Amino acid sequence: MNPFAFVEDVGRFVLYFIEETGQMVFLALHINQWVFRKPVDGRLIFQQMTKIGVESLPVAVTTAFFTGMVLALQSGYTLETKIKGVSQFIGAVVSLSVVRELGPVLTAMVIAGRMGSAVAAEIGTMQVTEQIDALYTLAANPVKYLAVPRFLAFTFMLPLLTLFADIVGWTGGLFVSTLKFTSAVTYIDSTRTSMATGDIVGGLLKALVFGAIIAVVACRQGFATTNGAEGVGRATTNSVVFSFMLILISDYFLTAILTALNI
Amino acid sequence: MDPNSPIIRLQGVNKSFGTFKVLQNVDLEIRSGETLVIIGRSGVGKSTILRHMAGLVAPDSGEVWVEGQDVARLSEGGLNELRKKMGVVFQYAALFDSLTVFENIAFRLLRDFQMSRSKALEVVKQKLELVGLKDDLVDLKPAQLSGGMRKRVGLARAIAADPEIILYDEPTSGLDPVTSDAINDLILDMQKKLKVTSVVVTHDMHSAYKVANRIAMIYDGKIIGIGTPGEIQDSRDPYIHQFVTGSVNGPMPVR
Repeated sequence: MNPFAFVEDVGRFVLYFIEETGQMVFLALHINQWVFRKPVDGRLIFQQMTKIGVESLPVAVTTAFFTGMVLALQSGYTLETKIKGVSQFIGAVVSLSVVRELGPVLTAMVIAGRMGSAVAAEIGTMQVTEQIDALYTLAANPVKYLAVPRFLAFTFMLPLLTLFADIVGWTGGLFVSTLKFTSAVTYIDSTRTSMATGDIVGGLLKALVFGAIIAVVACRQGFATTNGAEGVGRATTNSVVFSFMLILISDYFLTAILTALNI
Repeated sequence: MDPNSPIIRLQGVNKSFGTFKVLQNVDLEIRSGETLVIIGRSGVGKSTILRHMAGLVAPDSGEVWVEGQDVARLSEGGLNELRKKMGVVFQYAALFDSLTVFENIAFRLLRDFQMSRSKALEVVKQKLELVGLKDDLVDLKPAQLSGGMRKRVGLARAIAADPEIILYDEPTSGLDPVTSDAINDLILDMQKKLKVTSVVVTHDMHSAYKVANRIAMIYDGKIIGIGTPGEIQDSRDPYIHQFVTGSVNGPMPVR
């Protein structure tokens, strides 16, 4: 056994990751070129928004509800037992964590898992069954016809889903907090005094960026699919893995920028 | 246009995928209004020739001219204009899974030609009849069709906008003999009635003899013979002879 095999594997993955990211930037530019070029096909965009946004709502809010509940439970417990008697701040802790961080990030991950993978599989299947070639021969550009509607749907729907997730997550926190720690009035008061509009806007801005990332990753993986069914499987997995990584990496930098701007 | 001038011309086309040389210095001319059949074993580059003509791949070197235009040099807009005169029939039909039969066949009519849905439905029904399908399947999705039906819907989609050139990739493979012959008749009909130029890639010799004005045999990325069906049938070239008689004995290795 080569003792450096592991290092080699890591290095190869890093190189592949960087190369893929470059390809995604390229595709993102390409999408941008086509976004506003006429004719804008409203029906296609609406279709994707329904699939990506509306149909994902149940899973997104369920995730948010339990996240809010567990946050209240965990922070309530910590504030009460470790710092003693400061449980009146649960509202602030839950609402700020949900709105600034967990709402956008967890919603993005749920959507990357649910819809990013589906888009990669769909476009990947179209690629290996020559449907992408067929689009070209029918004078329809695949970026315009497939990537643009999905890109618009992801970037518009993710902030919207996040907004719902914020509300439901906060409600979940309220629920557990009143049940176990403080009164509802204290929870609401604590939220009101600590949270500003900027917190919500910043979170939604993150969601917008995450939506764009998921869309570009999924489309890129789909278009780059080769090798039949096995390749479609790989594209699907890769789209989820890359989305997760890029969401978390960009989240750090977005947070750094937002806090530097005092948002 | 001079009826004998080539409408499609490949000149010294080379193409490799990785280290595998698929096409080596291919020269080929297709005259306006003729049906040229390209024969050869699986994986020798037949489909790649077709994909060059459709502008789906660019040659590594050499030129591909269609209707007087260098395909590899065309802008996307120019290529799309050219493709409006072209229909491509894919080997496995390549129907859009998410669309109905109607939406597949009318894809270009609705998008490029801005035809109304009712008018497009008329055209779709007419094309379905041409390929021998009943018009009650317009609202089905491709997944609900049999392989042979899918193939014919793919053919209907290719001819929907009345192209001048039709490229067929294995139009009869996977079809029963009766349907195959109906497709052969359709190819002949398109040529006679509409003066369509056709390029057919196949290894079905029955079909090749029936529809071809000329047959070109490709082996190992090169065109090793071209001629009328009679000339090909009587060819003394050991490779061509082995292929057209479908024999395991000859210079071509089975592997």
